[in-house]
Amino acid sequence: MNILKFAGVAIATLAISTSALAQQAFTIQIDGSSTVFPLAEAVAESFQQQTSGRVRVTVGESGTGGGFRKFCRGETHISNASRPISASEMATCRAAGIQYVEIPVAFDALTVVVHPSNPLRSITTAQLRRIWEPEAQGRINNWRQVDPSFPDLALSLYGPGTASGTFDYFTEAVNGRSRASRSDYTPSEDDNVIVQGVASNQGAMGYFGLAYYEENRSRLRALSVDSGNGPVEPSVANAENGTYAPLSRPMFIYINAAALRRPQVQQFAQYFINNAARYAQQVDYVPLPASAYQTYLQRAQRRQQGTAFGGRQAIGVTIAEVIARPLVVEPVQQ
Amino acid sequence: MKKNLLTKAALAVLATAAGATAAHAQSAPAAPAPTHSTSWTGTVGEDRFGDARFKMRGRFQYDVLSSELDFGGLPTTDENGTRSYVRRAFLGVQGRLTENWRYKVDFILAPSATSITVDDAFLEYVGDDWSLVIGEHNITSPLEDRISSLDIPFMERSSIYSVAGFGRRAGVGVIFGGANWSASGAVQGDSVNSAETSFANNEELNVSGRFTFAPIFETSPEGTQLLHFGVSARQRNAGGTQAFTYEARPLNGRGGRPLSVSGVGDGGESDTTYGVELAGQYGPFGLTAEYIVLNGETLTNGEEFEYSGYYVDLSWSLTGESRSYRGNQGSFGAIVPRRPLGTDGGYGHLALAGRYDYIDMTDAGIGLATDTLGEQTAYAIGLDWIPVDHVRFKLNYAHSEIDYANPGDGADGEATIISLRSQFDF
Repeated sequence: MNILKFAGVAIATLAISTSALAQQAFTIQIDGSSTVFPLAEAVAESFQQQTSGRVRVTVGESGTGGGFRKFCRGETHISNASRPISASEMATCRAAGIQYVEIPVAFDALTVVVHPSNPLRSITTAQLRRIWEPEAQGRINNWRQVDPSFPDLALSLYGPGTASGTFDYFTEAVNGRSRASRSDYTPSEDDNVIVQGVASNQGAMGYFGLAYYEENRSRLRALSVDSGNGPVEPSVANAENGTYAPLSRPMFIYINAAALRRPQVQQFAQYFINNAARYAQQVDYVPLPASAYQTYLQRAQRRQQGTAFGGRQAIGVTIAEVIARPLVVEPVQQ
Repeated sequence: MKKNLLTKAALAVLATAAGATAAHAQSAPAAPAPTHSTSWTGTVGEDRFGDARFKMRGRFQYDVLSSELDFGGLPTTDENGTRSYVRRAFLGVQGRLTENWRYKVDFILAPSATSITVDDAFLEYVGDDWSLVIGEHNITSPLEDRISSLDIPFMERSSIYSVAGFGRRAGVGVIFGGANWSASGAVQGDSVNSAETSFANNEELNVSGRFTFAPIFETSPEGTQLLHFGVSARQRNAGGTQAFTYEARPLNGRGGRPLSVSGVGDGGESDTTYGVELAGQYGPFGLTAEYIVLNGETLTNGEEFEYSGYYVDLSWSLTGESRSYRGNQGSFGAIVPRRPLGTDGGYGHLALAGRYDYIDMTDAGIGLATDTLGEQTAYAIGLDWIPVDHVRFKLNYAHSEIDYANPGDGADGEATIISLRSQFDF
């Protein structure tokens, strides 16, 4: 009797579940960097049109760190990143059986913005550090404290949250140590919140990818950055020619290597690489040379695993340097 | 004497590690003052201050079972009834003092004990791809013992695990792990929960090791493909007058044990156990099989005996999830539902599982009246439901047949148990 009851429950459950598991369109799950988001979103939209909805693509923007957390749990097919995968993320992915193919997709000029009424036109990296270093917390509250020539305005800061790759990159490039930052600023993983904050506050400063500045030029002013060779304005051209240093940086997609065996994911990866230059220009990022995309297309087709960065940040690298680096699968010691 | 040496070795390791940490701290650049924060990444908030971490943890398993146990005329009374009880209630803490020094203690609140007992209770030094564990732990146990009681496929572990007495002991262990392999070794004494108080007796001594390798291990959002092999060995010596017991329940967490070798006379003085493991996963389909053989010597007259057993599990996730494998530990973790109940029309994780389980304890000891030798063959089927992460319901049906080796032990026995477990953890 008991056995019969049990069998009944089991069969009923089975029936319910199999009928509920009706065929659905294959969905490629992407998450990660909000800096890469506009590019990935543009590619995804166009790809879905091309395949007339047979393959769905969803793109999230929970930040580079947040994206890798999901990616290394096997929840996403592709992770967008505005910095290379870190050593600890490599270890997490490794223990979960997740191998990945690293594709640099474009370059960005990390842009420092202020309110358009601010008379300032350029800033040195040392001045940036004086504003953003952990020691500035609660102490540097007026522009004039940074430099006597700066306006007498209360300083209010906006920036990406700690799950952001932009945060990781900016803190290492400016403050000298990744993730070392004052924390008394308004953080958001959504760059539009930073745009809104800086645009509505006279004494505000913020930072994010060039695409978000270009989209909001009328409401913001971008500062030229002087790292010792005179002020250089953030632009596609200056990121390309390597003069906008150290705030030019590569952006990546990381593709789950096992998922690349699926025709839908392979097709999307190839579409992304083949069209990265076009959409990068469209959203104001810097495309890589055509030969680089050719190399990365082969990398995706052959599912060549690993990272060219060994789990470390790449501050101030040029496009040519990124392309020349070999792949490794273990973190490289300092 | 042995224990003395062990203690000295452990202290030496601690001293070296502490020295290295101190030297490192002196040369490190001055870091900004750490800030305090609370992070909710799972089901419980974790306090963070610089590199330090601290969080509470706990689990609760409540079982309802209906049993028909016919022991076949043994002195043990038949057990037919419906009961409910708390199988496990743990409350513990977990954290890290620095990036490398970590700890974990789970206090056992139920099954009730007269004094406070612990499950895991250890200090761990974590290196790049290795860690040193000091305290009550089971890092060298074979596969099923390395899977948390929260994540095992059936309500109880396989019968041979009870017979061989796998579980936690106090001592020192080290585990190395790569993407798809692990190697561990340990020297352990008694469990810290042991009530042995006679200082005239030496403590139990265990020396053990395990190696795992997964030639295929690949995960994507569509699932995991895995092929896992493992081998393990353990040698133990009972030390004082307490002898090892060898016994198992018929796939049940409570009640009588039809096959049992125990007591001062027949119990083991020393034994050696070897185990082999095979596990595979292909998307929603899983397979696990283990074979374990134990060779021992009785305490009183040094008589040799051999017991063995194996089990084969098959599982099928109706909702598509794979079991989550940890390559650097060679074990399985929690299954997280793809679509939890109440989100996106999901109803959590549902799985069917089947088990065949066999133990051979026919090899004669000296045959005191208190011992019952024989074979136990069991099968079980289970339905598993994880509506949301950290909540799980298990419905198990288990049937066992017991074939006694000595006619004097009575007619053959039979046991049928239907049980339902409700559990949560944080």
